[in-house]
Amino acid sequence: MNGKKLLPWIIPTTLIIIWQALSTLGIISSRVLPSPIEIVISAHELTLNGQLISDVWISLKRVFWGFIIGGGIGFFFGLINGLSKLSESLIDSSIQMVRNIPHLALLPLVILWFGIEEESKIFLVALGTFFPIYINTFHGIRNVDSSLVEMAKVYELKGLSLFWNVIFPASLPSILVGVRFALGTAWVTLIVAETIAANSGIGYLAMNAREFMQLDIVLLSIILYALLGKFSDVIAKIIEKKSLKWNPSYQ
Amino acid sequence: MGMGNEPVLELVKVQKTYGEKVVLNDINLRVNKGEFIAIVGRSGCGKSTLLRIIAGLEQIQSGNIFVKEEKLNGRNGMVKMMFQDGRLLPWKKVYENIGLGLKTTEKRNEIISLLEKVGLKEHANKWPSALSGGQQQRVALARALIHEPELLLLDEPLGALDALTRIEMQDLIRDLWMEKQLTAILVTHDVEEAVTLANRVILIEEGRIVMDQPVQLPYPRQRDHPQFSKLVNQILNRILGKRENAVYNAERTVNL
Repeated sequence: MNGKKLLPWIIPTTLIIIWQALSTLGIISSRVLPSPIEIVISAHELTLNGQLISDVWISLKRVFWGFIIGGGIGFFFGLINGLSKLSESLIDSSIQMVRNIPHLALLPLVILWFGIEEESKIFLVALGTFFPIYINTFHGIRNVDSSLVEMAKVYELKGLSLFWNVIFPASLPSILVGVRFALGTAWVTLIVAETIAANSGIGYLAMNAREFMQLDIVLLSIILYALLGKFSDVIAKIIEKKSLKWNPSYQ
Repeated sequence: MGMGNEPVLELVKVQKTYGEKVVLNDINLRVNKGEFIAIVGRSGCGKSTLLRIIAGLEQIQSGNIFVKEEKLNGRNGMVKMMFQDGRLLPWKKVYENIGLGLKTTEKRNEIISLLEKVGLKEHANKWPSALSGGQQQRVALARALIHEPELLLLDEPLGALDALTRIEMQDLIRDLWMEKQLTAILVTHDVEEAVTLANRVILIEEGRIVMDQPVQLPYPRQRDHPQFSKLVNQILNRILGKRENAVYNAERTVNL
C-alpha cells in the first residue's frame, strides 16, 4: 500500500486512538460512551454466540429482497414510461403523487397490515427503493442521445437489438446513479423499521441492548449499519466501474 | 471508372416542406452506378435535408424517390450514411462499432480487412473515446462500408476535422470509392473538397438544384492544376452570386 491509499485512514484512526485514550484515562465515562476496545470485545462475544451473525444476516436479507422487489418494479415502470409516451401519461402522474408521501409515514399502517413480520420491513424497503430507481431509469431512457438512435436506424437496429445495443447502455449511467441512491434509502428505511417493529435484525439488537443499558452493543449496532451501508455502496461502485468502463470518467 | 447508365438513385419532383417553409422544391436528380456526387451550397440551402431524405430519415410531401428502381418508403438497407459527428456507440469497442447491425460471427474477416484499409488495425480493441476525431470518422466510414451499400451518403463527414486530417480522409474516401466501385453522395460546404472528390458537383440554392457540373479531371486531382482552380472559382462565384463577372458555362467546362 502506498502513501496515497493510507491517506483516508489517518483521520478515523487518530479519532479512535484519542477516543480510546480518553476512555482509559477515565475522562469519558463508560456509561456515556464505551471505549473502542469494549465494543470490540462485545462484538467478539456476540459473534461467538452467533447472535451477531444471525442479526446481520437477517438485516442483509431484508435489504436485498426489498431492493430486488422495489428496484425491479421501479426499473420496469421506468422502462415502459421511458419508452412509451402513452404509458407515461397514464402512469407517471400517479407515481409522482405517491412519491410525495414520505414512505416512512406508512410505518403504522404497515404494522397494522403485516404486523412485525418480515413483510413489513421488506415492503417498506421496497417502497423506498422504488422511487430512485424509477426516476433515474425513466430519465436515463428519455435522455438517450437521439442522434445515436437515428444512426442505429440507418444500421437497421430495431426493437430488442435497438434496446440492448443503444438505449439500455446509454441510460445505464443514470440507472446506476439510481441504484446508489436506492441502496442508501434502503438502509435508512431498514434502520427505522427494525428499530420500531422487529424481533430480529440489527435494529432489534440495538433496541434490546438499550433496555439493558448495554451501550457497547448499541454503539456496535450503529457501527454495523455504517459498515453495511458502506459495503453496499462499494459494491454499487464496483458494478458502476465494471459496466461503465467505456466512459472516460470511470476509467 | 465503371460508370454505367444503371441508375442507383432517382429523385422525381421531390418537395419537402417544414410547415409553411419550402425546404426543397422540385428536385429532379439521377445518380448512376459508380458516380461520386458532391452537393454544395450555403448553410440552410437544404443540402443536408436532401441527404436525410435519401437516407429515409425524413418524409417528403410530394414526388418520388427510387433506389435501384425500387420506390423508397422509409428506411432502405441499401443506403448507408456517414454523419458529421461520428456517432459511434461509446460503449462498444471499435470492431464492435464496425460490426453494428451484423450478427457477431458475421463478416469477421471483412471487419479486419476494412480496419486495415482505414489504417486502424491496431485500434480494433479500443473504446471510441480513446480515438482522435479523424480516427473516429475512419471507424464510421468502415461501419458504413461493411454493409457494401449500393449508395453511400456522406453528410459533411470531414467538417469537424483539421486541415491535414481532412486531406488524408479525402484520399482515403477517394481510394475506397475507386476500389469498391461505390456510388456516393457527399454533402459539403467546401467547394475545393467537392471538386477534389466528385465527378459531378451539384449546387443547391434555396431548395432548388441550380447547377449540375460534371468534373472530368483525372484522379488523383492536383489542387494546383489550373483547371482545378478554375472550376473551384467558377462554382464559388456562382454560390456567391457573382454571375456577371464569371464565365459560367457548364458545356464548355466539360469539354476542356
